Amino acid sequence: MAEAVKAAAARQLPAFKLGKKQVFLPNHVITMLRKEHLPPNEACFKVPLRFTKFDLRDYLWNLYGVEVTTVRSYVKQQPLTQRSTSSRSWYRPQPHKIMTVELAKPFQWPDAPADLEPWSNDLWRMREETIEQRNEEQLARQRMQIPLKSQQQTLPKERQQLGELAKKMLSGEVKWENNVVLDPRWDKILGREKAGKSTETTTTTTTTTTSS
Amino acid sequence: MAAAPSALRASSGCASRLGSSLRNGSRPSFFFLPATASMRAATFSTTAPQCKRKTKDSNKRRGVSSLYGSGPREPLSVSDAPLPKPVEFKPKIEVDESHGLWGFFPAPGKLLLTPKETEEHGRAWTVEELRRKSWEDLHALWWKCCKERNMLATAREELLRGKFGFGEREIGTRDDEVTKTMRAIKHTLTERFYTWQDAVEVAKSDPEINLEAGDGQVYTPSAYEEAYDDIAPEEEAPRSTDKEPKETVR
Repeated sequence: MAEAVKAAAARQLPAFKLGKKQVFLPNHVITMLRKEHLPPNEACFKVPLRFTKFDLRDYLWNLYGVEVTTVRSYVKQQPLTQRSTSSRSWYRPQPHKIMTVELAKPFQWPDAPADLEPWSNDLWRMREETIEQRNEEQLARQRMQIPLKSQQQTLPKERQQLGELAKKMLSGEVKWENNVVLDPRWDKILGREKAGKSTETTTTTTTTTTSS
Repeated sequence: MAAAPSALRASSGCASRLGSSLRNGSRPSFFFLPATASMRAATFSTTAPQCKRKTKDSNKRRGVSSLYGSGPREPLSVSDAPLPKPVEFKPKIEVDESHGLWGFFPAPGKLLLTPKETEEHGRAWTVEELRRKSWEDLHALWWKCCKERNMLATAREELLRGKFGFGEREIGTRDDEVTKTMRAIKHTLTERFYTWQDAVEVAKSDPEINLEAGDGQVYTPSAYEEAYDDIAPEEEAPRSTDKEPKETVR
């Protein structure tokens, strides 16, 4: 106890007047925010709503030994939020209180890590993209804009293969065959069809020739 | 011509001046033009008062706004000159390791812990362990927990802002563990308070204790225990080292 008192006396007092009310077990969480536009002599914090400027000033001095010259604050309203995707209940979340302080000693934020492998960034981004895509699909379905299977950009592999095969068959590159040995009695019918087809084709060719 | 010349339009004023010079009788000579004769030749003038824009309320700056950046109504002489642009320069400031704001980070110069490092933490303090700690220890531990929670909140915010990837769950688990410690500290202190309350109740009915004693001598033993003095050094040793008076009551 005596050591703590001595240390406190030895510590240089700040330029401002410290608060007198003692708080022994505070339960606040202060978040430091990175703001790119702020100069190095300023720092931004998210504080509980009940915090005042003096609270933050004394908190930073007592807990971190950071001297602060000025504090600016604002309360940021949060957007309306749905309680859950299934319910129709909406509510306004508690707003955030943001305070910007001017520091006696400037502070520079550390750089972001260059290698994001420890955070599995690739996997995470894939997951985020999938979630985003699903949400968009869901929204489109709610708007009754259901895309046709054939209009989908990414068809499954089997469908793609089938489509290619069908195109080849249409162009005559591949002849359709199901390797079934037919009864000889079919020969007669099939032969007639073949003959009819051949006559049809001949007629079409003749018509085209006559027209041209 | 009866109206005052100031009320006339600029062009008509010019014509009246021309007419007055004619009426004065001075014959205009076309070879030696005097200074007043040039006015006569110039039927069109570009002097400032004549080119002035006529607005409803003769406000020169009507429609010019600095709020929505309309710019001046007429192009100025410097309109074609390119404006200088500010240089993209942000000074990098050296921060020494003793800066207090590094307390919001896991280590000086380190932005946030990786998920694996975040997971490397022990369990929370239990109430059984904290019961034997003094108030100074508990208070110091509480503030340590506060700092840790602030650090974790900053890391979570930065993780979400920078879209680094996974790691939110690990931060949440660690935060829960710190919260458990804080709850245990409050539990211990509450227990201590209840014990002290009970002790006061007991002391009220104890004949050997006088709570109203003004001189601070609360304990008034009825009989001096002589035998106690002989064994005192061994028995009292642990008691004297114990800092917590409330614990000795219990």
